[in-house]
Amino acid sequence: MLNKPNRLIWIGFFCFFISLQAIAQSTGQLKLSTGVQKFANRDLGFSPLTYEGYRSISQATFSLDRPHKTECYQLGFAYGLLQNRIGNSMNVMSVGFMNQTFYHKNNPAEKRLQWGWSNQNVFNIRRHNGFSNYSLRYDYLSSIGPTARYMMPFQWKRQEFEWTTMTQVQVLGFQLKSGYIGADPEGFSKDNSPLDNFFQGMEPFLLGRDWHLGFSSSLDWDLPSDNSLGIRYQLDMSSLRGRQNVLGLGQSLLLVLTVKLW
Amino acid sequence: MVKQIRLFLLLTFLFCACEQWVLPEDPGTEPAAVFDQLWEDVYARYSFFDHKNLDWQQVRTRYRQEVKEDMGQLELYDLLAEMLFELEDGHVNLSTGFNRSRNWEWYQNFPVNYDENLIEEVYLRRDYWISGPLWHQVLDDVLYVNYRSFGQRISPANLRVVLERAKRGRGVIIDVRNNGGGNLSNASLLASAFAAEETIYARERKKSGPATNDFGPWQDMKISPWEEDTFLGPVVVLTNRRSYSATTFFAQMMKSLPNAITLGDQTGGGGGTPVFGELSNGWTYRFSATQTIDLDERQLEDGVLTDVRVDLSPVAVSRGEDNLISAALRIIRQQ
Repeated sequence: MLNKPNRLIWIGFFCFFISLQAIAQSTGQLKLSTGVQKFANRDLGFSPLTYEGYRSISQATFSLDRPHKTECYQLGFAYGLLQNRIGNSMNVMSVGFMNQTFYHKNNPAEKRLQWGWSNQNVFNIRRHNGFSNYSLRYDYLSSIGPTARYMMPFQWKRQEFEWTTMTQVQVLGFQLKSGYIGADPEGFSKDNSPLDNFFQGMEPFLLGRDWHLGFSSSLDWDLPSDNSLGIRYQLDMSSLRGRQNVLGLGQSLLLVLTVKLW
Repeated sequence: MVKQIRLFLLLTFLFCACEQWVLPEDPGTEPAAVFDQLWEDVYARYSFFDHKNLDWQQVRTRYRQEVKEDMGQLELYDLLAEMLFELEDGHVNLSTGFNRSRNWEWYQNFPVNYDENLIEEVYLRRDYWISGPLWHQVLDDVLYVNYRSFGQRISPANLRVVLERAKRGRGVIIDVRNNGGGNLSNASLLASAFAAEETIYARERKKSGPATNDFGPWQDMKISPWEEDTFLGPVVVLTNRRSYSATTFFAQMMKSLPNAITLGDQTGGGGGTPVFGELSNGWTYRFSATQTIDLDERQLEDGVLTDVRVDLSPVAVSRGEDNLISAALRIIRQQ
């Protein structure tokens, strides 16, 4: 019989061995992207008017390609100043984490539609610059839904390219949104524990009542170093219904550097 | 390649078609549309319809028929300002580039009870101390502090000086007459310097839906002792009808402390925190969206009653005396 420390060492060794096996059969990539986003937002808790403007946007995506599936983990950040047509402004910041899993046969870069699922987590915070009270509002969404992509590698003038089109629709999840008047969601109280506040303020996210969908298309040029350089167009739409609806539409153009890790 | 292009075009078309659906156009700027935006938002978020027994639907019936398609900006402003006047609330304004509507009846129909020149000449005199927004002078053995706007920030250093001087005397008079309010955090900080323990002074609730009685739960409003220092001797707070908004809250905070009393006329009110909004023609507005009650469930919107009711006497003023300050000095010296 093994004692406890030895058992832990064997379990650790076993996990390490399994990880090595998995790494040996996979490829890992890191995509770093940065660009501009034309963003429009309407938060009825602030105003019936749409606020529009350009934001800086950056994303880092780790992609793990395995023989039968590809997993992508994306961290995103965007920040900028939006204005409405009468000149009032607000600062809007978004932080997001999304993971997508695509299922496929053999080579992930095969020319065929690949299906999978995605989990989207987005936090948006808005500060209105013209209002003295209740000038801060936010929303948070965590949801899952189907995703699909089509990858098409091709050659042009002896150079290797890949065109990838991807889309995802969120179906089910939960959201936390600022309340009818203030920044805190309805039901939040200073006297409650954070967990109580979470359950008090949480609302379901249901496709049909709420919408959150994304679409992107990117063209990557393979560099001789096994890395690639690309350009991506990305479109994100969001409509969170509730006591004060929050609508958002972002169109981004990003430069993408893909680094092959192994 | 063709399949890829088809898929791309199809998705692009679908998403572009969704754009208009996700973000419909902004509301129109014609007078009727502007009127409806303002009326609807006030109806959905204003917090005192039931308390003031005001039928906003009936107000709409009266004013909506006055809206004409060809009316000018000034006419529309006058109409909307008149409609908002019905709310009888000092926290209600319509701001345009050319004017700002208001209802100041909360103090205009009442005695002033304050003479600024008298205060400066007789009580502050020439050698008073200025610690940020706090002007103070020792009147024999009592510190007199004059604070004219809670919009002016009190720094910890300002407060420290006041407390050090207060501790050398028998008590403090805080004069917030004609202080129209400002930032509630300044009120809380000043009151915390006289609190011995955490004290609930009021309860607040916010609108939570469009019906006139849609409110969230009552939440306690508290003051805690200032961490750096406190003065726990007798304090008299002087108020009048022009003590409004954050000053009303300050009066209520001090009233809830065992070592403080309020003296003079009741405050003007302003117990609802204003929320802001904007109209499609560029005008902005604000109105109350919360309710605050004292521990006896009396609305702070109606003002905070004083513990000792005193009006400024013209006879006293004529002989160079503010009889409210005299009364406050007597109360402190009796303790």
